[in-house]
Amino acid sequence: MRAIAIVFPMILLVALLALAAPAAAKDEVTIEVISISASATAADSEKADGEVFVDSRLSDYARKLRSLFAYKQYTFLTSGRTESPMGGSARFQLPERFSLVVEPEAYDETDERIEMMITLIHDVPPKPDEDGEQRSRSQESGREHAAVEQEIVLRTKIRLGNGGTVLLGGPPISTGVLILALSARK
Amino acid sequence: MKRDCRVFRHLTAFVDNELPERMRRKVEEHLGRCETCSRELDSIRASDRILASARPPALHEERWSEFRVGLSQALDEVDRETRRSARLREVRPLHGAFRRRVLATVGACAGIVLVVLSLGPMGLLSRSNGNGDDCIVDSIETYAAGYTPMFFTSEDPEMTVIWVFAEEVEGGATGEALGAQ
Repeated sequence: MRAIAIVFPMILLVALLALAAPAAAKDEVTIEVISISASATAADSEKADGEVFVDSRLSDYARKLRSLFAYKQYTFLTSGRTESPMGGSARFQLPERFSLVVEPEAYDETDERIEMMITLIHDVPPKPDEDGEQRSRSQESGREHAAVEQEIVLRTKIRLGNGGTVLLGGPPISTGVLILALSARK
Repeated sequence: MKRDCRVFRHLTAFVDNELPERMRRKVEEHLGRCETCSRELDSIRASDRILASARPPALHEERWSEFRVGLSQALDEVDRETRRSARLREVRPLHGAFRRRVLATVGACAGIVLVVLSLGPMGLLSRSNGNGDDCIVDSIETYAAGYTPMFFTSEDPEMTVIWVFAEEVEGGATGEALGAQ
């Protein structure tokens, strides 16, 4: 009986530590990006003046959006969620040729912040040349195929609290302005 | 009574059919001639009838088998009861110690679970520090013409906004429309 009283807790301890080990060793960051269209005019003309319309899929952000901005309408566009290791990168394709690259670089254990580089890219279609064909600047070097030029609209390095959200926005899109809600958790 | 008849002593065996055939025939011949032996024979038979009516009924072998099986089971049950009582007498003094060991084991396991959980997924290893949406912007820049990046932090709600102002924005989505609080 005494042997059981000693051995059983030891087995339990080993099993639980084995279960907890992957969580402790986890070095990945879960990143979620939600893209939102913000418009200064409500699409529905019957809406009362001053009323702000927030897409029901953005209910988690409704209060923040209303408090931070003065747009009349917020519409959910896309959402993406992925995991990236430290030193890796995650790419999110966004509406209207935008894309966001998130690169988690480090995790500050003391301050519990995730350090990451964020790059917002816009694919610019090549402008038509004199022959009417779309060619990019890169073709000037002799390449024949029409390539898309990428503009780095924003490149920023941040330290976000673990599990926190930061809003990025400003680029104009067809329905208004693009806003991105970026969340990260280790 | 002529008790000196030689067959007189065989009369009981004759009644019980225990005589050999030859002797039996001699006894029968003698009874036909000897009135004394005949009366004795009647007396013996009368006595047998009386005794037969007073005897307990004979048991068949099946009944004896049932009796033996029942007896064996009853004895086994008595034996088991005796052994059980003996075991209880042995265990009872150890009951307190056994209970203490079980409680100690359960307590140790519970302690281990609590320690692991406090270090595990819900604990120190992955807990959130409460920084929440707090964000520090170390650098911000743009490589595209026509954009001006900036950021601001709101206290209520606690939120950092990184914004790129576009020069050619229609519909009022400029810095004015941003309407930062």
